[in-house]
Amino acid sequence: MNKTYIKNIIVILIALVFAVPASIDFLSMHAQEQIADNPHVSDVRMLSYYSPGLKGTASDTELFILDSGKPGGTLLVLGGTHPNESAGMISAISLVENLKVNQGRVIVIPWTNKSGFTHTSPLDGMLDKFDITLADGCTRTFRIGNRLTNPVDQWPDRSFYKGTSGRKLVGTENAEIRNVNRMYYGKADGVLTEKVCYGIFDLIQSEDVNLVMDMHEGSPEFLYLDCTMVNWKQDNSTAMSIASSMALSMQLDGLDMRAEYSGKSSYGLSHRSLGDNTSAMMTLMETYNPSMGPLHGKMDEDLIVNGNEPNYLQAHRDGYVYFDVPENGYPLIQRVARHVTCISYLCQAFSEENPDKAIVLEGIGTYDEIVVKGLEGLLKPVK
Amino acid sequence: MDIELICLLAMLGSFLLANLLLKLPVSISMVIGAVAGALVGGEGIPLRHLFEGTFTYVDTMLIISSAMLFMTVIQESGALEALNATIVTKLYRHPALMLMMLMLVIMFPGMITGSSTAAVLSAGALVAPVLLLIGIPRAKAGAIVAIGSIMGMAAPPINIPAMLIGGGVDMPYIGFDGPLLLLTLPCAVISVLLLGLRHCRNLDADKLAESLDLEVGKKYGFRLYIPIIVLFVLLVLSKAFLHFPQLGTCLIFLISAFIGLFTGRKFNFWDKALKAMDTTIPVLAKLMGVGMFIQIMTLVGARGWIVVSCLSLGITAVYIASLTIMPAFGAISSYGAASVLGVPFLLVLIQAGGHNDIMVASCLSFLCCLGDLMPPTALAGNYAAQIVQLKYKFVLKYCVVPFLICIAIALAVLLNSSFFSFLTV
Repeated sequence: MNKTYIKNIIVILIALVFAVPASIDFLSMHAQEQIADNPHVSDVRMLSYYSPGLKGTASDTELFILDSGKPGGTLLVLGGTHPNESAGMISAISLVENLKVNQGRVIVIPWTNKSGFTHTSPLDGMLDKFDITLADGCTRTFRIGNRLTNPVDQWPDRSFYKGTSGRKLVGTENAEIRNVNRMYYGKADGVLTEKVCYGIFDLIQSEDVNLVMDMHEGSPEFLYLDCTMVNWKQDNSTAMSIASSMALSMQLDGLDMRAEYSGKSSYGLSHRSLGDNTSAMMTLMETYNPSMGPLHGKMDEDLIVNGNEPNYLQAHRDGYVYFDVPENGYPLIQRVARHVTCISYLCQAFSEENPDKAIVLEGIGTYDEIVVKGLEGLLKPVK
Repeated sequence: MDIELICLLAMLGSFLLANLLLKLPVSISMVIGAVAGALVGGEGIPLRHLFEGTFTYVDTMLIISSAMLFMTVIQESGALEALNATIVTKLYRHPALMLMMLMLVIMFPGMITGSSTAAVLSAGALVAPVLLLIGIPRAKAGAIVAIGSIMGMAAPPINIPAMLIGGGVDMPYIGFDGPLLLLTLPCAVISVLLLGLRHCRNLDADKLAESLDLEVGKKYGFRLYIPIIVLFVLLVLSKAFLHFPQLGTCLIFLISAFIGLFTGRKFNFWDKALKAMDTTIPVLAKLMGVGMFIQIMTLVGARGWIVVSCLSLGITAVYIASLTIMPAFGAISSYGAASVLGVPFLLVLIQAGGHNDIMVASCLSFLCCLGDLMPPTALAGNYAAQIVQLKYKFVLKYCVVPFLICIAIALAVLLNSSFFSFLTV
């Protein structure tokens, strides 16, 4: 055999020696988190129920329905819209495992962009998973994904695209065609990400959802941290009234929070486009995630779970980051507690203004109670 | 000493050791640097990260590969020769205009691929003989090709460092065309006139006609240019009209290349394509190495350490570092400079106030592109030297003054970014 061929075969074999274990590692990201049983979960559906085009795809995702059986309003909670913003998914899972609804109905989607959980963002050096050891000694593993749909499931990105909201995707923004929070209100026969958006749009309309909370995180450079965005719509001023009431209540209880209107040009984002095109009150909340952004130090579980990032503290002291970076880090449990209690405050404010559509929750606890409990106490053991 | 700094030193040390002492290719040296960084950072050999970094630029690599096939076709079909002959015969009485047009030809592949290497290896290889023919010395011709290819890399519509810097701060790649033209066109014009004009003031039309291949243009006429026109039309249509089929940049290059097989001289496509890919693979490998290197820098915290250190320097030091360290980082990778240094420098300059964000990002990306002249890798310079059959140091000598002019223009635009903000619309 020609020497070149032998050399080429040897090179390919060496490549395979490395590629096979790497492939197994990448494929392990398809293993979904387990969720502990909660007797108050009345139904579990797939999003393809509302967007049939999703059936059999990597983006068809579970939605958990907690129905009190007592007439009231309906709240939709979105976690994992951006799978690299871990507090969103963990908060959603903790709701599914702990929540009891005493009036009205709550629908929770923990993995809104399910495909995004199967890959990480190149050059970010991001961990793909992290572990939480529970009080009984067992360990639960959670994935950290990418804010975009996996290109294996939706590729290539188009050079020029206009979403149903009117948002034009050109230049480097064309990858945003794989961002759930840019493609609302979606399209039943559009690209995969649009089908997810359409599913949520149709779910809101079919189930007569009154209130939506989309849970996000951002790096400290982001201006809207510890903030709830509400839909900007002239005929929907009550959303701001409820969000302001929620923010005020949280501040009175010692939790920083403010409410802001959606940007007038925030086309395609949930709080803008779903609010414009449905009757639901849209809210989106952001917390500070120290593992995001270009300044983070060594990427490890300590950074992900304990949120201790001296680089951002230094940058804040030097005046480059507006967000008041906490001295002792911003642990995941505090971010989860903030999201979960924000939902609680939001439902209270909504119920006060709409007593005929009240949503009454139980099993969440206060911010301090959740923080004291820790992730190991908040999350339940799974079989 | 911080562990992150130790990791960084281990990475750079291993890279330089492998590249300069062991004479290994840049791409392999980067792999060695990345593995060394991971080991020192306590990550073992993190296969997932090494692979993930490697495939970061897969879209860019596909575009460069298909662009090289397109350039091979229009080169072999005679289209570029005909274009050169047309420029020289029509414009030899106006040497300044002729040189500017030749510079534009050199820049063209870089503009559409975002790669200086693609520009040098394709259009540069064709224009260099013309530059020699009109009396420009070899070293200066090499310098013109090197500078022209870098200006092409930095010019719109595709400037990859600008995309990388913008991506780091959630800034969409919109509004960059005007600023990048403001930076690249004056630098390209000044450089080519400075290096070439005095050598081609009194050209003899008959001598030129003897040396140029005028036959290919006469034989095939306008149809030679059809692939280039198709390329432009498809690129513009796919980005300007929503309902036009989205072919993707790679397919547009391949369609244009396929048409080029029937519009000029016949040639063995398979052989030529293989040769073109042979010259391209080291560039693609370098992109893979850069991705792996930066991924590990980020994983072990070295990237964050660099960023925070830069932020603590203060505004004056960041100006100086932008003009010196950013181009110098090109010795490793101009894309790496954009990704590692571009984002923090942009943050500092924006924070200082009085700047237009897009203008600043454009200037920084332009400075990153200049890194392709930096030894030892010096992508553009080394390939240009090969084309004019000289050692790189002779070409580099004539690149110094244009390089300094580019730096000066970048500084002037950077300091007056608000004044030029109307270009970002």
